[in-house]
Amino acid sequence: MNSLVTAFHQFLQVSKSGNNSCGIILANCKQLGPKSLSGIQEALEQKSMGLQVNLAYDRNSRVLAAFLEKQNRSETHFTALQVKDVLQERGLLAGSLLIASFSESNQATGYTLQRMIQEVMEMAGFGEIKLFYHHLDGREDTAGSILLVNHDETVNEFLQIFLQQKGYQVTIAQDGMDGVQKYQELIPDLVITDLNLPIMNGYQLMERIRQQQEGPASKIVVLTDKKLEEDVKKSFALGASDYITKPFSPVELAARVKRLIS
Amino acid sequence: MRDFLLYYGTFAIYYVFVINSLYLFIMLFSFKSIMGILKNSVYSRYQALSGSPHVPPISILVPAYNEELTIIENVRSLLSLNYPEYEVIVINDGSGDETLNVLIEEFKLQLSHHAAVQPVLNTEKVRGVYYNPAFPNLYLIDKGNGGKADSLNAGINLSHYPLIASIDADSLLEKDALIRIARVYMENPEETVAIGGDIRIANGCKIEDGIVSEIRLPNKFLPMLQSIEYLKAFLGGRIGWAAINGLIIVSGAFGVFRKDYVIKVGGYRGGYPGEDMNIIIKLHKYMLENKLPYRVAFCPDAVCWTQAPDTWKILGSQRRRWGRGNLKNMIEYGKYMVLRPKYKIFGLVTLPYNILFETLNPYFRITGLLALIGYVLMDMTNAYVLLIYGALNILYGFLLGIGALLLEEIAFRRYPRFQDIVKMLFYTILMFFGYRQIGVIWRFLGHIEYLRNNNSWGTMTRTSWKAEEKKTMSSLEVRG
Repeated sequence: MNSLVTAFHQFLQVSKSGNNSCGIILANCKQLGPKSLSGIQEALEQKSMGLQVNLAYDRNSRVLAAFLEKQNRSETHFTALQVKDVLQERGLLAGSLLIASFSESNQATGYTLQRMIQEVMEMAGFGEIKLFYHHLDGREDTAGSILLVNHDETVNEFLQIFLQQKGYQVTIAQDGMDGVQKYQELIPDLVITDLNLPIMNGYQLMERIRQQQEGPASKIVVLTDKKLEEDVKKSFALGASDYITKPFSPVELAARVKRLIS
Repeated sequence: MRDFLLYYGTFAIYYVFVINSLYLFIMLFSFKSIMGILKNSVYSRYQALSGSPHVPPISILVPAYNEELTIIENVRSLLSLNYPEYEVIVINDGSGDETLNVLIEEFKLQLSHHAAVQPVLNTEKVRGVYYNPAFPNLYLIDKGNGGKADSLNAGINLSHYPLIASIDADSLLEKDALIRIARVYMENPEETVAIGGDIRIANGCKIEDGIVSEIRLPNKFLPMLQSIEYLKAFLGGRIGWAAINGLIIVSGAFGVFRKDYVIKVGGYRGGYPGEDMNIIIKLHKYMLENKLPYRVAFCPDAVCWTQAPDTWKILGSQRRRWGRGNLKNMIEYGKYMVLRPKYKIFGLVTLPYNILFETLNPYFRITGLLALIGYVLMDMTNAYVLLIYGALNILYGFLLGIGALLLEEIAFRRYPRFQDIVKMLFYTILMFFGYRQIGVIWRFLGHIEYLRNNNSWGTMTRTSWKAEEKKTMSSLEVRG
């Protein structure tokens, strides 16, 4: 997973108290070291007179992200101009910028950010600033987001590719603990989970998801080896929407997933 | 005197010849059955089985005495086995450390007042049974200190299922181990009374979240020797013994038993080490005396990883304990059952073999050494004869070692790197220079302890799996 998503999640947790809007600026950069990162931070704070800017940088995608507290879209846009200036002065800008603000509507999730990162990396041009409208368009390009919690690497890889082809955003977690963590960061539309997982089993995972949920509920599909009626009964009691046993047909799984999130 | 020594010399040569030939013979049986085992395991659908409602439920009994460092990880790993229906019963055997509290804390267990403990076997006083509905297949029994056998009996009293698995708290089961053993059981559920698993040495392996994630040979000298020793004993020996239904021991570290028969023979014998051999002897005895068809099976692909002692002191205390337990069992049961046709293969082959070549082994070795000194003093021998005799011994031993390695390479290939194979070969030879001899001395000391009525369990220190990992890390760093 992109390191920016983790940074963003941390930022959200810190800033959650009392504010209802936040801005995100993504910029294509050249390779940055920690030194130039702190240089940019200082320059930005000087220019914008005490504005709280959280910077994060992902090495692999070479995207610089700035997270702003309490900023609506026009304020974010203004700050983006400053970011662009600072980067250009230092000759670090490598492409265009993409901005978004979560003041008006949407719930900010890791998935939205992942989509933004993808978009900013695909953007042509140099020094242009574009607004990210995705959350207003609804979800046109992806059919939904799925978190797959399973310990079997082969099955994971296969299902990820298979479901991605169907247009879903798929994230993988190797064990129950990892699953809970990724669930909190991403709030996916659907969770596909095994019951038999290391550290924290599927039941505990479902329990945690149930406790966490506020607003629209994530659907849960159980995909497991276990064919005992006890397990089926318990899974449905814990809020599973469907129960599929291995060996399974991927086509059938996709059909059931589609029925649940579309 | 010269005559006596001469006769003894002839006897010694026969002894060595017979013991090694028997080893080889047993190993031939191993080779004979390994192909069947291999095919069985290749064509079995373990994944489908591990969710099937047709697999018999198992109660896993984990006796824990002063295991605060490793117990959490082990229970976690036991709770995520690939098996449809099972329960884990941890029995805290009056530990002096925090074993009980770390478990209660970690799994938020609460004292349960209506746990149905059936007193089918006598045990020390059970202080309480702990349970948490969030972990529906985990139970914790807290009881007064009474030894491992006593803990297992207490576990049997609480267990809800017809099969029981005994597992050491310092061992890690592979996720498939239980289902593999269950498959062997399901081949013939009527007659199978006990099944042993394969024990391997975990020292040096990388362990994450209670799962062996990377298999490596141990870095240290002693665990490496034990690793080879276990390979030889389990693959070369036990597969063969199981093939003729003459298995005398199912390792206490990992074995599965029919609960009804364990109860019929009176449960585990408390108060003395060697309870794992004892229960198998009692099962053989019961089944043969009642003329019931039965088998004691071994499942080499059900692997349990255990921590081997890595100091001479602790290894010595473990081996003395084994020697003590073995002698006790032979005196208690062996001598009444040996060479009696009523006890079939077990009485006619297994027990004589065990008494002659295991229990009495140290005496032959020690008198052999004395005789050797005699020969040299009386000038009855020369370097040439001695060399041939020694070479013959080593050749035989090496052959057996190679045989075990071959079995491993044919069937399991847990250590796929070429350098691992070279290393194992090297240690197979190294075993004959010192390690074997010290083992004999330990066994002898164990017998002395028996005579002096010392029946303590001895010390066994544990290192946390994490610490173990750190240690291997640092030793890697040193080498790098």
